[in-house]
Amino acid sequence: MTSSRERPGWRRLDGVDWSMVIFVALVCMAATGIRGSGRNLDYWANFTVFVGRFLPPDWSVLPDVGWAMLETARIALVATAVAAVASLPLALAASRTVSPWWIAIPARLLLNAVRSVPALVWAVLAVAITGPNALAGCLALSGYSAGYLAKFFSESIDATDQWPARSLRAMDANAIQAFRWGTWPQLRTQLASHGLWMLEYNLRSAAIVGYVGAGGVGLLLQTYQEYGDWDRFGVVLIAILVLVTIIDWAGQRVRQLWNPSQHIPAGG
Amino acid sequence: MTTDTRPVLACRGISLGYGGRRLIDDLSLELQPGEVLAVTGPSGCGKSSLVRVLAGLDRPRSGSVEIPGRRRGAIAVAFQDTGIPGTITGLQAILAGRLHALPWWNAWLGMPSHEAGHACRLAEDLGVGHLLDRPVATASGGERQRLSVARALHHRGNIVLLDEPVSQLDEESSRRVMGRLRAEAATTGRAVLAVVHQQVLVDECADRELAFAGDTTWRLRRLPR
Repeated sequence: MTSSRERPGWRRLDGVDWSMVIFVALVCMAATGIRGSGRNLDYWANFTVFVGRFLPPDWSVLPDVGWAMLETARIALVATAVAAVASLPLALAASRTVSPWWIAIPARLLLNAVRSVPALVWAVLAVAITGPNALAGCLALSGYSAGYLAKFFSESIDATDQWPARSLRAMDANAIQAFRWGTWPQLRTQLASHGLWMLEYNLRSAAIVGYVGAGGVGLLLQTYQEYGDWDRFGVVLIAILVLVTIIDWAGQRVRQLWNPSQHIPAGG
Repeated sequence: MTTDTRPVLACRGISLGYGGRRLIDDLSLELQPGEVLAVTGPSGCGKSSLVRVLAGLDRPRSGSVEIPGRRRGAIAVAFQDTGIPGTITGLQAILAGRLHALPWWNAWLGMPSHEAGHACRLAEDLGVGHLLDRPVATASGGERQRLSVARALHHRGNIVLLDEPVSQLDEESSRRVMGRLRAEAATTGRAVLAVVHQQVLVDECADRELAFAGDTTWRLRRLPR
């Protein structure tokens, strides 16, 4: 048998190496198709003039921005909670280790369909149904997030080590008991982590869906852009940056709390 | 020790193997109540496969495994890969051994916590009492093994199958665990089958030794006590 050292260089590449080679080749091919408008523009001058309009920020709108941010946070929280609850049965249906193929495949197709519609299109649809308000934002982000969370959850379920549950079954625990004490403890933190990621994502998305009337700070962004109030627009961007930074920091702290393996193992 | 001498488990001519590979041929043995049977042999000779077959997870190529009486609740098992999730506490890991004693509908929240006293005593006996309130993820490999042994003993089946329960333990801890198993068999009449590599532990704690040669043959001998 030929050892890996005796093979020619290209035959020593494994699946990951080949994936990287193909990825780089695709990037090179894609880059050749990216072109500008063809007009003779001074990009740097355009950039500096546009950014200059944001300065100095008009802090007088801060109270309005604060209330709008609060509404954005509300939309994101409620939408994430609704999506988390709705996605659990969908995830179980789409899981290959839990559901038979004739349920899993249609469920996966449904999830693909839900995810292929961008959040902004969901928002347009929701505004058409409920009118321009925060409820539209909630509905839009709930539908969109449920598609994502269900995919993440079902992949987590499929990737879970089945051995703990099997070993409990070998000691006569029933299927639900084995899932509860063998599988669920492994899943719990992952599902919560996915939910937290979705909340962070929705806080950003909730700021955008307001552009089409679905409530929150996006509505202010749209108004300030319409009237060219870039100094006020800048205040909203700063507020979003602050909120996202706080959420990012808080998310890290919460994940640290959830991960018991960060304790130092005792010897023995 | 129990006076009942009927076997709690009987293997009748079982053969084990994977694909074209034969591991064990025509093994017949009876496990008596109150005895400790040590299974020894080189790596890959079929010891873990035998435990899986006796636990009902795999089927033998031929032959049968008979368990007189009611099978449910009869077999407690600790595998080499302990199969204990890292996010539950040591106490929950041990209590999970008694899930079979709960009503079938009591699954989600239920844990037989009224038996926590027994679980705690087992943990102390095996030297893992400090893990009772801590996540299993913080335990070392040897501590997880001992939690797994405690879970199997807490199950209270009359057959206890242990696949390499002391492979990651130092000499003193190994003696402690094997001594506890010896005492369990002697006082409760449970039959213990344990895969063990250290011959000195086999000689000290086992009543009989089932030794695999590694060429599908085996030898069963009684040890002087």
